[in-house]
Amino acid sequence: MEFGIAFKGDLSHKRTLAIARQVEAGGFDYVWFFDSHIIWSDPYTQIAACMQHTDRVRFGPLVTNPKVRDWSVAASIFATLNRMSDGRMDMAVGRGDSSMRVMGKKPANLATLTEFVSAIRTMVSGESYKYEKSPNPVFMDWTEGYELPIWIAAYGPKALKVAGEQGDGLIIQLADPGLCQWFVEQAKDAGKATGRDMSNYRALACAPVWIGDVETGVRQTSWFPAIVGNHVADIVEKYGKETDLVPDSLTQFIETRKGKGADEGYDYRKHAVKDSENLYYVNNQVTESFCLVGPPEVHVEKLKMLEAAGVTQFTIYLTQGDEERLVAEYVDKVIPHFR
Amino acid sequence: MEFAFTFRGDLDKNRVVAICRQAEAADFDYAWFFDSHVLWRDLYPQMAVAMEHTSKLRFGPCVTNPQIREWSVAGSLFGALALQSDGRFDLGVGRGDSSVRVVGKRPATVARMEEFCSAMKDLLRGRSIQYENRPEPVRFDWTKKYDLPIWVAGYGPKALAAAGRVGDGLIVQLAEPSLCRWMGDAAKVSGGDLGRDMTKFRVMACAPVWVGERRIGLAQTKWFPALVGNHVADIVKWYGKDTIEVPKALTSYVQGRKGSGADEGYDYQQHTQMDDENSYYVGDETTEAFCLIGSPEDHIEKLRKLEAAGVTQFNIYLCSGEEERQIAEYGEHIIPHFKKN
Repeated sequence: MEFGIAFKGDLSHKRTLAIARQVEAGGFDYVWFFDSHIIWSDPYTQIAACMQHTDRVRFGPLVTNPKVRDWSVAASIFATLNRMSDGRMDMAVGRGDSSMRVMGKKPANLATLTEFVSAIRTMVSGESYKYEKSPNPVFMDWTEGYELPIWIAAYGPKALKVAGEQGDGLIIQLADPGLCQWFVEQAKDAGKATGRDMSNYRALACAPVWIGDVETGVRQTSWFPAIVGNHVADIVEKYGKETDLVPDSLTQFIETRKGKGADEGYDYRKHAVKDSENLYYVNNQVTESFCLVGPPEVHVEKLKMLEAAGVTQFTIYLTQGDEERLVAEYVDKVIPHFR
Repeated sequence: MEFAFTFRGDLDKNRVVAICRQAEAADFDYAWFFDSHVLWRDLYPQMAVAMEHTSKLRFGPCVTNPQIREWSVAGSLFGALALQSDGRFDLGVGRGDSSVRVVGKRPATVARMEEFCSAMKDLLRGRSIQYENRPEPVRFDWTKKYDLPIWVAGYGPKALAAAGRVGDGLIVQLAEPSLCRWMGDAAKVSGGDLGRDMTKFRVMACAPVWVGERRIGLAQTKWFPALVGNHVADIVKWYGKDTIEVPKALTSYVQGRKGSGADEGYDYQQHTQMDDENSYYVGDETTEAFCLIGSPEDHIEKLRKLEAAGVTQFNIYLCSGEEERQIAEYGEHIIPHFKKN
């Protein structure tokens, strides 16, 4: 099992650097950053700085999207960061959420997501690529032929299919083992159906954690089901409430969520904020199932279940206080059980 | 007089860091980067890394443009870098040249460039902006109300007037004293007409340099008038060959240039390269007028003239070879003549 952390991007620069060093020393494998340039700040300059203070951990946005940057601009950033880190850059991508919605824009459709993945892969590998918004083909002759690992975020059946067909890995933004198993199988089956060898396919589950008493942990992390709830609301809108294409355990918890789809019933300016009004409908049970909350043994046990469900990386959303302590607890009491 | 240098962005990362440290120790004030993400890599991660290794040097793109990044994306990069460096970030802006032309896009109009400058200032101050018919206004609440210094690049009367209206400084991409004076004055007059106090208005002249033998220096820097020539060709295209709005000293040397405007007669894939095919029409006289070439004394003498012409910052385009040596020569033999301490 690999371990990662994800920064929201709002910690002070010095703390961000110190935590990046701490996780590398502690045996973590990845440092990810949310990519939501209006709410927090641009992640790529922070990634560049962290790379300068580490030499083993890998980096990437978790997640970027096809609509927020011109594709040549995005490819240039990824390829530059890769060169500057001697090959430690990955990309995780979704359809677009807070970075788009906070501007009143819509996420990309899956066809655009699919094309974005091959555009970025091609440009970063140093081959010429022509896309709709660039009249001339884009050719970057300085990328050293890098093969960028690409992870695709998905919840619904169609997105999971794209992730399995196009991605090197799947991003699952919740840590319930039963749901993770369902997601991973969907993606792998889709990949196999195209004849891909899926034996090295990766699956990343991400969620906030709290090591300590359950009551405090639930309070610290209940913002998380509310962000998941937006995606689920979109799925319910798209596939219908009674669909058998999606497990009930994914859709049930949003029954009391107000509004239709992600655009209603949620204030993106308070995205991923503790104690915000966005989590009015979130109950303790769903928080405990989506997050990791409790003493270290509970974390170890749940991570073993995630591993059995096909998860290959667990990434901590490091966004709700006690960041350095939580990393330290994982290093001392959790990660050793997986090495 | 402030001193600066500009990276093209294609040097090895460890060299970039080493040169920034060297230049900071040698009393340089600014490290700028070309912003042309397809030709040479994205500059902003490189800047973020160089900031980690310096404490005084200021940074910025020289120049970015309103066309290549969505405005909130651009503003977020600038705000992040200002935070990461404890306030050592400036912005150089032009209408857009190589970064847009290589992907087949067009430069911005002067009006759009002006709007971009105001938008960036507002965003970094934490004000809400609305642009390009976005459904929602954009506001950053994490920038600590940063006051972003903006430098505007221009050659022609309209761009110079815009620089005087919205800029804290003007970027003059050539180092010929009388042309610098004409351009700086044009910007200041325009700002003065608006009632702005222009006494603190800054004027940057940028050009490649060669400390050493003249003959070699000419060969090393001849690519530069060819690059300037694209902008001049655009000016000749708009204002006409015989215009009196632009000095003859600026336009006469492009007479032998082929094609009309920047899009013709130039291969942007060879942009700023030594030994390129783009500089076929450039005479030695122009190269000497636009660049700084010769012994340290020659450089000092010309820099004095630039200073007298109103130039407040000289910026070395550090892409003509022997980069570390040029910085060392400036640190040792030239900058001390212009710094009081």
